[in-house]
Amino acid sequence: MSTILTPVTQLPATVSLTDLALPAVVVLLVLLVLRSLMTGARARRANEMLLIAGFPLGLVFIITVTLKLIATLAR
Amino acid sequence: MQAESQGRNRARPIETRRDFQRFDIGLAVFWVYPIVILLSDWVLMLFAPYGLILYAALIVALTFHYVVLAPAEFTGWLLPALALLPITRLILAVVDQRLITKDFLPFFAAAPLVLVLTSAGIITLLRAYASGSPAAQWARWFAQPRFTSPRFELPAAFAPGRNPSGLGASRPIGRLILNGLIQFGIALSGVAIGYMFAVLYGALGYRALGVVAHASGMMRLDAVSGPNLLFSAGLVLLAVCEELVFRGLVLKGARSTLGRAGKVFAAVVWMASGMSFVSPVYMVSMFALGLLFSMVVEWSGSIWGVALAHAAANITMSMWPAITSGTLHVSPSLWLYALVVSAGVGVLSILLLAWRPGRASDTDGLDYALHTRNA
Repeated sequence: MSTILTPVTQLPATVSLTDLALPAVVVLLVLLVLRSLMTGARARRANEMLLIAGFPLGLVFIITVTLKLIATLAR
Repeated sequence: MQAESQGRNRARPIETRRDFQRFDIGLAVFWVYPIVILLSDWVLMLFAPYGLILYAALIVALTFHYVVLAPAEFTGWLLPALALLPITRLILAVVDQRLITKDFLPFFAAAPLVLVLTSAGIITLLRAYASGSPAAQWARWFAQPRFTSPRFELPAAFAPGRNPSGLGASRPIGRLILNGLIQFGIALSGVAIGYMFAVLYGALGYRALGVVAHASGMMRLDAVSGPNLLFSAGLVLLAVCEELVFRGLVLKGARSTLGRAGKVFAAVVWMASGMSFVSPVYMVSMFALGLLFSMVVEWSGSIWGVALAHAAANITMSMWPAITSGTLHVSPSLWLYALVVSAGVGVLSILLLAWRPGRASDTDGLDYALHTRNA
């Protein structure tokens, strides 16, 4: 178990927006806001963009935050 | 009368290139996107973090173009396909900002891998939702109000190569063998392509590869250790994924939007996004190869031939310097490990892409996308 956690504990312990790429956060926010503003066909296309762009980006973001939190706790 | 005619036109779905030209702010604007991708890579190489701002701006611009500016009926997937390229850069930056520093820029080549694996996950979720099978009930959170109509066109378009008709599977067995042989021949040509590139870059002393030469261990299979091993392990899979994205999604999207110029457009996008910042020689050769691959895909009706040719070229090119200098010292156990890892990830991706449970079976990649657009 400790072997598995070794790379994780080598991550920076602090969880900051700078570490987690601020542009990615901005993109996610824009996608969400745009989706909430659109209706009809545009809403469907906004959904597609949210799914294509937001899903992988958000997933990676959540996993990274979780790993960094584990790294913080493991110290 | 004229007003009535215009009204009818407005209500008609956008299907053809001419319609698209009439409604959009212009096809010329599409050509700006690969240029911005190229500029972003250059900025990232010279001033690492600031390139990310350009990527983010590019995604936002593409989103606005697709969602707000394009006519309401427009359902082409070229714009989201283009957005995928900067997204993979941002994903790498989110994972670890060190991945976007100069020393790690070759990791950009792994972008299609990231792309296809995440996309395979999305497709799997959507198909599971559509199947309605009890085992897939957990995927039904997509049915929440925000996701009332999951669209299949875009994610399904990721896998045009597995289209049975494209592979010849829906044709008589004789045609299947013939098509298989044709694809195999195309795949073998990759060895010659890899040899040509190895000689070209060898003659240039690998100076042409610039940044890549800086981390040449990653590009040469004789240096197998740590990240080099992972990079080598993914060479084949990487090529297949890259072809799925560029000769699959981008090429088909560009063809439906830009017509015959789509082939050139797809080649330009590939050139712009394939570490082309390293040198003009690399850019030109990438463009030429991209154009050739696009033509072969359209002629042969499947991307598997060029995907395997791409893989063969990668392997030949990566091994050539080591072979010629006689420094190929690789432990067999490491190679076995590399083989198992790459085969495992490859099989998983292909299974995810090929899995079509229940009534989602009619969502057969691009065929489905094209048919539903006319519906």
